[in-house]
Amino acid sequence: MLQILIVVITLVCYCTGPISAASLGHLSKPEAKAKPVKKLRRKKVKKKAKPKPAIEAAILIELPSHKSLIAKRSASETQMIDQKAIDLLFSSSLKQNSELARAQKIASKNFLSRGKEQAIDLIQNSKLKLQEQYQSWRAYYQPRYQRDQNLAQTSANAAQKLISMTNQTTLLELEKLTKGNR
Amino acid sequence: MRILLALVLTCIQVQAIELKVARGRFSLIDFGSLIIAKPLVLNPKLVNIYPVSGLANEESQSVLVIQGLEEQGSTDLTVDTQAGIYQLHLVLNKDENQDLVLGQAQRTHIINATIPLKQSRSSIVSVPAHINRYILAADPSLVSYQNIKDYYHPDFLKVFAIGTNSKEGITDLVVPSQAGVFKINLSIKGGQDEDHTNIIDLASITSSSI
Repeated sequence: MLQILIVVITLVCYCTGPISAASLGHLSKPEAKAKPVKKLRRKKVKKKAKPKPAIEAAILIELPSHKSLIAKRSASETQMIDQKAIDLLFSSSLKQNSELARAQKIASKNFLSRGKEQAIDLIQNSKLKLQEQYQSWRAYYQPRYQRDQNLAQTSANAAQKLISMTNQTTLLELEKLTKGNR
Repeated sequence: MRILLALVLTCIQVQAIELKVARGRFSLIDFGSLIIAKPLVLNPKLVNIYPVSGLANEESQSVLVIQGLEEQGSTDLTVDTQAGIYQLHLVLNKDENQDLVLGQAQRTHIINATIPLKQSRSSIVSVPAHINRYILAADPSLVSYQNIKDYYHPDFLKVFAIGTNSKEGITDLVVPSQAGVFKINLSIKGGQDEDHTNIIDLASITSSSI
């Protein structure tokens, strides 16, 4: 009888165990009564349309005006031509000097009259060479100069002056040379 | 009687003309007579305007280039010319643009053919006469200007190159010159190398002018 009673009590205890245990405080509340887990809902973020980049001002490039370009080009070209003319005249002058040195060498010899003639011939040749170079320079650059007549005239005058100066120097040197030899 | 006639003519010219302008594209208006005052735009945030010359004298401007900046909206444009005052209503949209010829003495060459280009490539543009100050691109982020002639070379104002910056896109290029204002349509796309135009000779395509 007692055995049957123990079995019944054991069975009752087995069946009602967790509830009574929870009421006794053996188990924590969440375990005793699990709350339903709330599903986390992601907030829908509205995708903003990408703003199109602003259109830039349409000017791809601003070029110089025709007038200013022509003026600049003309000035630059004239400067270049002037420089070439000076170079040409300088090289001619150098050539003339070397010719003069040769004349001096010949004249310094005792054969005065023969030396003088040879020196004059050499200088004449040198002059001719210089004139030829000047003419070729004029023929080459004259069409380019037509755009600006004033500049052309100034440059041509400068070139002519240089030539005459070189010639005068040559003649003076020659005079000195012949006087010295006498 | 003359005053009445002048009034009637002015009223005709003052009637607003509607013109469609697309974003990142150009709309050209050839007035056929000289623009004598700075054109007025009611809402300058919607469009940029550039008066250009297609004549030997680069200061004599008779063509107006309108660059669309937005995809929607509308504004008014007032232009005072030797032939009278013109009132235009500009309607902005996504991809439809119009050009307009108002006078007899037109100076525009609008080339409708689309010129195919590829990314990171360049094309030589040859102009039949000297360029009048500006080279305009409706969307300058797509193309860039490259100088290929020396500043002192006689062809400095006649030949240049354009490089493509973007992978793809459509834009317009306007080249005002002493022989008229040229407008070409550029289409940058991927694809084969054969799709790229190496030389754009504006003189050879003037026949398709409007």
